[in-house]
Amino acid sequence: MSQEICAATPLRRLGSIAVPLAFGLAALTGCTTTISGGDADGTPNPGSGGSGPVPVAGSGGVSGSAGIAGTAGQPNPAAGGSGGVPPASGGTGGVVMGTGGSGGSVPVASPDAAGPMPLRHLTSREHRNSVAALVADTSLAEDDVPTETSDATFDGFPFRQTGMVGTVEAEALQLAGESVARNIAGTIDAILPCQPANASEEAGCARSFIEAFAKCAYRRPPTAGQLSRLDALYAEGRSVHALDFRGAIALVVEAILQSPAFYYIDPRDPGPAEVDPNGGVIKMSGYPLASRLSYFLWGAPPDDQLLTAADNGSLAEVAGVSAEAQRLASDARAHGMASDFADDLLDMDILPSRGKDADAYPNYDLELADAMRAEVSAFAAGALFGQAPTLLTFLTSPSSFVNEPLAELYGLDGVNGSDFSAVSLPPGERGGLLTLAGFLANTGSAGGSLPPRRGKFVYTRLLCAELPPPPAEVPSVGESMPGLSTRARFEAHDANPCATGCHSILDGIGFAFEHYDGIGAYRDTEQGVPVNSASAYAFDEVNAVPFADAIELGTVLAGEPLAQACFARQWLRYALHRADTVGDEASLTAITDEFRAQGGSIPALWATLATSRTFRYRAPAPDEVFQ
Amino acid sequence: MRSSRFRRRTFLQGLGLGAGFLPLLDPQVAPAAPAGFPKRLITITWTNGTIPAQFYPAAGPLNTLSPLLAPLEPFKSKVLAMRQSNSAKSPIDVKVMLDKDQDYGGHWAYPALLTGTFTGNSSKPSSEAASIDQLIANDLMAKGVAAPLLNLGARPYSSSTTWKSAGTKNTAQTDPYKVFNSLFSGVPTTPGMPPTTDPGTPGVDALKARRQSVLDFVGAELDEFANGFGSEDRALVQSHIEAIAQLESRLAAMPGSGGSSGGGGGVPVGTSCAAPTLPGTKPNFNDVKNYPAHVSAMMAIAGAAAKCDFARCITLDLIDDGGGNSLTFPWLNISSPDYHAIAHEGQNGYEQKAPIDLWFMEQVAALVADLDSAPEGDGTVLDNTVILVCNDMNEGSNHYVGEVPYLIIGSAGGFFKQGETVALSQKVPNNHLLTTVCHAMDLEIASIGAYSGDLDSVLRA
Repeated sequence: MSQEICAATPLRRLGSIAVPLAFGLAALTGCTTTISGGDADGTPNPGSGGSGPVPVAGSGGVSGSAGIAGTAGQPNPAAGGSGGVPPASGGTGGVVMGTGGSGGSVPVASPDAAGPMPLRHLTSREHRNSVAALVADTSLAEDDVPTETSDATFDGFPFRQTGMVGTVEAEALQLAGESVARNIAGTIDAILPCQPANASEEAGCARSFIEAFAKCAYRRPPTAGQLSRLDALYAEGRSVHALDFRGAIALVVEAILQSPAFYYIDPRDPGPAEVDPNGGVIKMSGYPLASRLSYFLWGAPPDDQLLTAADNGSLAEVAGVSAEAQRLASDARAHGMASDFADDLLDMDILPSRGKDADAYPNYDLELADAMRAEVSAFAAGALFGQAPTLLTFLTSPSSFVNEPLAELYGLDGVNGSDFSAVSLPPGERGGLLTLAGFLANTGSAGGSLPPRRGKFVYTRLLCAELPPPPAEVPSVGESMPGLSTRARFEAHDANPCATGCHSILDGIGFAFEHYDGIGAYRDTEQGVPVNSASAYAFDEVNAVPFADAIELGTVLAGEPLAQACFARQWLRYALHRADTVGDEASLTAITDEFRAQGGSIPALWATLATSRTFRYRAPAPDEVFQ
Repeated sequence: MRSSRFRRRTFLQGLGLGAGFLPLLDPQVAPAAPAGFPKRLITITWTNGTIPAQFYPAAGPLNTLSPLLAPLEPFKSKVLAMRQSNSAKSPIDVKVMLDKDQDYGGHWAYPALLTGTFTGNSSKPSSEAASIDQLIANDLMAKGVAAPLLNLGARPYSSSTTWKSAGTKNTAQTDPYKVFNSLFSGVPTTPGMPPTTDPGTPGVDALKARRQSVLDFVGAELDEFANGFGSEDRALVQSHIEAIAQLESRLAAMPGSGGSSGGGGGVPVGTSCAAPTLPGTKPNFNDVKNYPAHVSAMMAIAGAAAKCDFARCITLDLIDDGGGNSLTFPWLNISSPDYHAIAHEGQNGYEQKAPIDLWFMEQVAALVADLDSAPEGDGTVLDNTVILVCNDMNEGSNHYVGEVPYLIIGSAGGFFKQGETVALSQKVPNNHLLTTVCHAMDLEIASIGAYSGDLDSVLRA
C-alpha cells in the first residue's frame, strides 16, 4: 500500500492550544493521522474549554518538574516480593469467564495455556482515537459515540465493559459516521493517495484509496468481498446518489466507520489459524496481535510501523513483539493509557454525579469535581511516565497537577486560574494515588468520610479480593454528632456481630483515610475530636501490618506481595480487556514474578505482559470455526 | 471552566444541524388493535423499597389512597393496587431470587423485576431471559410495528430492568436531547400543527437514499463478518444485524418529500401528539440538583412517545439499584445522607424517606396526568396504557426481595380492574404478574420464567 494513502493534513486549527502529550501533532504518515489532544484520547482535559494547557504528563512537564521526590530511600517493593502469587481461586478475585480452553485438554494453569479473546467493539475512547487516527477528525464528543458500561459493581473487571450493539448504538454509529463524513468533506484530499487530474483518473484513484484506507481502518488487509462491496458503494455514490468524486469518497468513509471490521476488534486471523500443538491454543498472527498491542498501549489503531511489522511477520517472534511494545510504550500516545487505567480503576466517571451536601461542603461543585477527575488522570500519567515509574511511585508520589480550586482544597499557594500546574503535594498530608481528592471524594459519602467504601476500594481493586454479600438486616450506623467521630461511629457498628464480617475488613483499611473528609479535604480534627488514622490489616490473614495513615498505607501496599500481584492482575485485565481466566494464570505468575524482579517497574510490567503467552496466544472459542 | 469533554449540544443547535439530524419518525404501521387504538406498556422503576405501612391501601374500592400514593389522588379511579389480604404488605415476591438464596439481594434485583428470572450474584447480576417489554415488542414487531421499544433512564447506573435476551441488557437512553433528536425533530410542540421541518425540504430523499445504501452495505458486511465465530461472539454480531434491520425499518417509515412513505398506511399519529418541551439549554444531568429536570424530561419524552405512538413499550429506570451514585435530594432539603444511606436506616430514616418516595410518586403522577389529558377514542391515552410501577426491594433497611411493591395504573384498553385494591390470600411470584401484563398487551403467553401461572382472574376487569 502507499505509505501516504491514509495521511491527512490536520483539519482543525489548534490555535493556541498547547498539546504537550499524547496525540500531539504527530507525524502524518500512513495510517496515523493524529492530531487530537488528550481530550479525544479520553483523557479528561482539565484545560479551560480547550484553551488552556493540558497538564497530563507532557514530556517536559512531568519528568522535568517536581520529580518523584518521595521515592528516595523508600522500600523497594521487590524486596518484599518473595511471596508467591495468590491463586485465582483463593478468593482473590479470580473471576472465571468463558471456558479458557479447548475441550479441557490443557491443564488449567499450564504454561501452555492462554485465555480467550472474545470479540468486542471499540470503547468510546478507542473509537474516537481511531477516527482521529484515520481521518484526523476530532469533532466527535464522548457522547456522540456509543458508550460502554463502566460497571462499578463488577470487580472482576473494573474497566470499561463493551456490550452488544443494539438500535441505540447502531444509530449513534450512523450519526457519528455521517457527522465525520460532513466534517471531512472540504478537506478530503488530505486522506487521498492521489489527486485525479481528470475524470478518467478518478476510478483508479478511488480504487487505490479504498484498498489502502480499508486496510488502515480494518487494521488488516481487506478481503476480496470487502473490497468489492466498497467498490460497489463508491459506484453507487457516483451513480445513484449523483455524488462527485470526493463526495463518493466521503460516503465510503462514512460506511467504513460503521462497518464491523472497523468497529470490532477481531481476534481471528486473516489466514489459516495456527494452532499450537502445545496446549491447543491459537498463536495470534500479526494483524490481530498488532491491534491488541496498539489498543492496549495507545487506545488507538496500529500505526504504519506496527502494521508493517504485521505485514512482514516480525510479530511472530517474541523479539518483534517486544520491540514494538516498547516502541509504543515509550511514545507519548501511551500516556493516555496511564490516565485511562487510573480513571477506570477508581471509577472516576461516577464522581461528577455523586451528590455532596452543600451545607457541609459549600465549595464543592462540578468544576471542582471535574478538576479532581482530571488530576487523577494527570497524576497517573506523571507517575507512570516519570523518572521512577513504579508501583511505589504510583502509591506514594507527591508529584501532581492542580488548578486553583484544587490548590485551595489542598492548601497550596501560588496556583491561579483553571489551568493546571505541576506541584508537590503537601508533605505529611498527601502522597500517592490514594490521597488524591478525586479518589477520596468519590469514596466519601454525601456529608462525610465513608471508611468502608474507601476500604472496599483498596480491598477489591488493589488487593483483588472479593467481599461476601452483605448479611440480612444490617444495622445502621449511628448518627453523626459533635464529639463522636466517624471512626467511633463505625467502630461501634463494626462491633455488632452481623456487621463484623465485612466491616472488620473494610474499616480496618478504611480508617487510614480518616484525615480526609467527604470531598478529600485534609483534617486533623473531626467533630471536635482528633483524627485517628492509625490502623492495621493482616494481608496474609495472620500478621497485622500497621500503618499510621493513608500515605503510609500506600508504602505498605507497594511492598505487599498481595498488592503487587493484584496490580499485575489489573494490568492484565486492562491489557486483555476482560476478566482474567484460569488460562491466564501461568502467564500472570510469570508477569508478577518479573514485575517484582524489576523492582515494581510498570513499563517492565507492560513489556512482560505484551510478550506473555496469554497476550500472544488465545484459547479458541468453544464452537469457533477456523478458517 | 468546562472542558470540551463535557461539551453538549443544545436542543436548538441540534435542530439546526441540517440534514443529518432530520427526524427518524416512526409512524407505526401496525394493524389496528381490536379497540382501534394501540395499547402501551410503560414501566417506571426506582430503588430502595418503600415504607410498607404507608404504601398499601385498604382492600376494596380505592376511596382513600394510602399516604405514599397521595399524588395519584386525581387518578385513583384508574389505579389498581395489590396487597396481602391479612396485612398491609405486597403479595408479590421476586421468587426466583428467593429460591436462589438471594433473599436480601435488593441491590441486585433489577434484572429480575421484568424478567422473572435471575442469575449471577452480587458481582454480576443478570437475567436468564428477555424482559416483558422486549417480549411484547418482539410480538408487536412480528405484527408489523416498526420500532415499538423505547428504553429510557435517568440514573440507571450499571443495572437494568430491560433485557434483550439472556445476559444482554438493553441500553437505557439517558440523554433526553438525544432521544428528542431521534424521535421528535420536526414534530410540533403544539398538537395539530404542521411539522416544523418540511418533509419536502430538498435533501430528505437524498438522505434516505444515502442511509439506505450505507445500511445495505453495513448489513452485508455483518453477514460476512459473522462467519466462523463461536456462539457467544456470533451473538454480538447477530445483535448488530438486528439493530441494522431496525434502523432500516425506521428509515422505511421516515417521511419522504412526497409525504409519508411509511409501510403503506397505518395508524395515524395521535391527535394529541406533540413534541415534548425540553429546557432550551441542556442542564448538566450529572449535577444532582438537575435530577428533577432530568426525570421531568424523561417523563415528558415517555408521554409524548406514547401519545404520538412512536413507541408501545417504554421502560424508565429512574435510578440505579445499589445506590452507587449517591443521589441526594437538595430540592427536598435532603442533602445528606444520600438516598441509599437513608434507606439503610430503616425506620430511623422514614422521616426523610417518606418525602422522597412521595416525590417519586409525584413524577409518576405527572406522566399519568399527561396521558390522561390526551383524548383517544372514548377515553384517554392512559386508558389504552398500562403503567407498571416497580421497585427492587421491599424496604430499604432489609433489602428483602420478597413482598416487593408493584402498582398498576391505567387499564390497557379495559383489561385491568380500576379504582381498586385487590387483596391476595397468598403470595405469588412476580412472574404471574408479568404474565398478566403480557396478556393485557395481547401477548398470549403461558408463563414468564419458571413459574407458570398468571393473575388474570384477580386483576382482569
